[in-house]
Amino acid sequence: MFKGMFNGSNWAGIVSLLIFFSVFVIAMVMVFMKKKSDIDYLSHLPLDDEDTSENKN
Amino acid sequence: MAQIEKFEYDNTIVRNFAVASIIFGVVALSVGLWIALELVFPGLNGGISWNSFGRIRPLHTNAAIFAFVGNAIFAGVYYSTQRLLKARMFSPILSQIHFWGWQLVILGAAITLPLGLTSSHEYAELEWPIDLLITIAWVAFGANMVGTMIKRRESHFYVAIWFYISTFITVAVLHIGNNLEVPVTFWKSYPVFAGIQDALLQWWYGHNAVAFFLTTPYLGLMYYYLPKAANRPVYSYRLSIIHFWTLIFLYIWAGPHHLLYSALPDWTQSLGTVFSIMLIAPSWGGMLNGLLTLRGAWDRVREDPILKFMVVAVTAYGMSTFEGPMLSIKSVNAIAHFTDWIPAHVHIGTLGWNGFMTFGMFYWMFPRLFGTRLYSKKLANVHFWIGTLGILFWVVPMYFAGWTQSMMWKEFTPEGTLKYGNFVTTLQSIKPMLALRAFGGSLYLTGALIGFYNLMKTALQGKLIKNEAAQAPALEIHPEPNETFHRKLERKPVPLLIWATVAILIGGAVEFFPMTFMKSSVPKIDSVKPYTALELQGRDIYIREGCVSCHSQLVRPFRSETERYGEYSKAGEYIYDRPFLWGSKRTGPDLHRVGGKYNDVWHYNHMLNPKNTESESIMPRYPWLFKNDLDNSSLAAKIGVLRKLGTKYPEGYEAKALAELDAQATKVAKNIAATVKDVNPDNLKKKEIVALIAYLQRLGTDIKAK
Repeated sequence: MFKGMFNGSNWAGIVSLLIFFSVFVIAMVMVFMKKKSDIDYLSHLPLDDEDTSENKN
Repeated sequence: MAQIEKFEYDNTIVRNFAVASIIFGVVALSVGLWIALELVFPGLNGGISWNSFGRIRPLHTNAAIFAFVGNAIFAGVYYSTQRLLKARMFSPILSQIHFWGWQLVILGAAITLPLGLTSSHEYAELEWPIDLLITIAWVAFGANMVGTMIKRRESHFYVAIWFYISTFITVAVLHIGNNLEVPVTFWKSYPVFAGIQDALLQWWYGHNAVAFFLTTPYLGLMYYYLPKAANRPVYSYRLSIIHFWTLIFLYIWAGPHHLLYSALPDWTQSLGTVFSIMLIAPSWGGMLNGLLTLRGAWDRVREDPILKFMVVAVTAYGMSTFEGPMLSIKSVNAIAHFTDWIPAHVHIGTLGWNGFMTFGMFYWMFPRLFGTRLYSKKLANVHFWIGTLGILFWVVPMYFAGWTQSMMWKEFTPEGTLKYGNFVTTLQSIKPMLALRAFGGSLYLTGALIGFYNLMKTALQGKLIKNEAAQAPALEIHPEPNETFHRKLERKPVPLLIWATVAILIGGAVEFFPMTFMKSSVPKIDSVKPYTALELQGRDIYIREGCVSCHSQLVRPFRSETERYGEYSKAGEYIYDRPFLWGSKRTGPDLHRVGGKYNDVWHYNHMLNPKNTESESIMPRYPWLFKNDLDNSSLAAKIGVLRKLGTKYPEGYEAKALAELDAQATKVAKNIAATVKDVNPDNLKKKEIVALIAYLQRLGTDIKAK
């Protein structure tokens, strides 16, 4: 069965799907290990400076 | 508590890049409109070499990508980086080198491209001296960024900074990779790789120039300016992290989707397809993250032109990144490739995503740089609506044209012959669409001019805050117990740089190295020989005139193409093609099998005035090829460089190349003079047109039965 799977060019599709899946899972695990307080702090960084314009919005 | 430090942000460099972006934006859009009009009214080029479509089209693309968008990126990055890191830019000298170096690159492009000095690699046309200048400017940018990261006051890097870093490192890698070339003269070089390897390398670059010059920096800008404009944090910071790592890792693999059904090996095409389809996940994650940032603030979108621009920009990003994976599916690609669908797809990205995000960002930024209010909110709204209409009038006719022409190319009669055997018939059917596209372009340009006026008036009514006062606690890093790997990475610039580099190198390496070093990737064909001296010179004229902008040299293995053009193209046919000239758009027919299809006289008359041979042609005239003598001064150097790179010219060929060139030119000139009145063959044989005809007559003939 596996021999047939890797014959021809199909292996490229299967390998790429596995790579994508692995990277996606690793990224998900890393992200969900983060503390909520850290996430909140980082997400507010852009809003953390003075506004010099006259039309603050 | 750390001591509070007072410092100043450098707004002058931000202002400089922003003004350059706006000025060059108007230039890029004007040139775009001009070439769109040249397709509607071919006579507009006036028979002037530097004004012809093939030479001006790369000027438009380079101006749009590197001058308009490039300067906007730097303005946005310099503004946001300082504030996110709570530090002034590391070095004012590096800022100046970066700014003036980049403007010098643009000036170089504006002079050299209309002169026909081009490498012909799409979006990387600039010749090697300008490539070196780009390297200097880019290194100055990167050093300034990393330096600022090191002397920052904020312990952790916000996700926008990660996108900027990945942009810096990937563009550097792409620039080096796709410009591996050997100079022949100061303004002429040949790429190290030939044929399908050159093609793979070019589209690895081309696709990732879109990814890492037009996308990742703009995602960084989106993650900073959209929350600023909406005055609320990004919808999901966790999603932004997943977006970042999966996007930069996946994007780099997707290049081969530009070469589906080409002579590239199947496995490479499959990798390109699968990774492109999977790209929709991170791309739409990012798009939704942007749009959902506005949750609870949609009422403000009705009132605020800045948010309007940004919402349409992010929506265009979503449309474009849905369409990209779709176009990578082979059956869809078989319809869309080489048609106007592709420019439509590209312009959703550039006009919608890049253009509108830029305008939104500048409308937000200018009042803050100049300490004032936006001059006219009403004008900004007018700009928004004219620009949106401009995009629609640009892309909708082009989608229609793409479908229409592709269906006509593929249609057979019940008897089994092509229904539209004459290519020009299919072109005629889309001419109204080309005119509508030009109208859309003129609307978008009008909007940009209104924006230009509004922003300049805003600047003039305020005063530049050159050095903006700020304060923040000094940097103190207190590693937490049990800190995760990623948490550490978020405050370490060099490891972040290294991991981002690893992520982007894997895909390119897996695809490129087997292609380059496995001989079986390019099956050899014994009958394929190097170009003769005259053909080589003709090929370089073909490159100079930008013929590749409108003509492909790749017959795909479809019945509709083999019936129209001849035998499908094989990898082994391109082994001496430096650079490869497959093209990406067929405004005119494919030329890979044009050799021997017409006689020399036909080509002579056709290049003199295409309407001589096809009354409905929109190809420009090339009168200068009949006046210019062929310059053979660098012929020996060209042969020497090509031999070093692997072209099988015999030793000592340089010494007899001129005599051989003369003999072949004489033969072509006599053929023409025998039919065309008032042609002196002794005079004609010295002209550039003869070399071009010799090259065209050679195309695709290596594997034809004699």
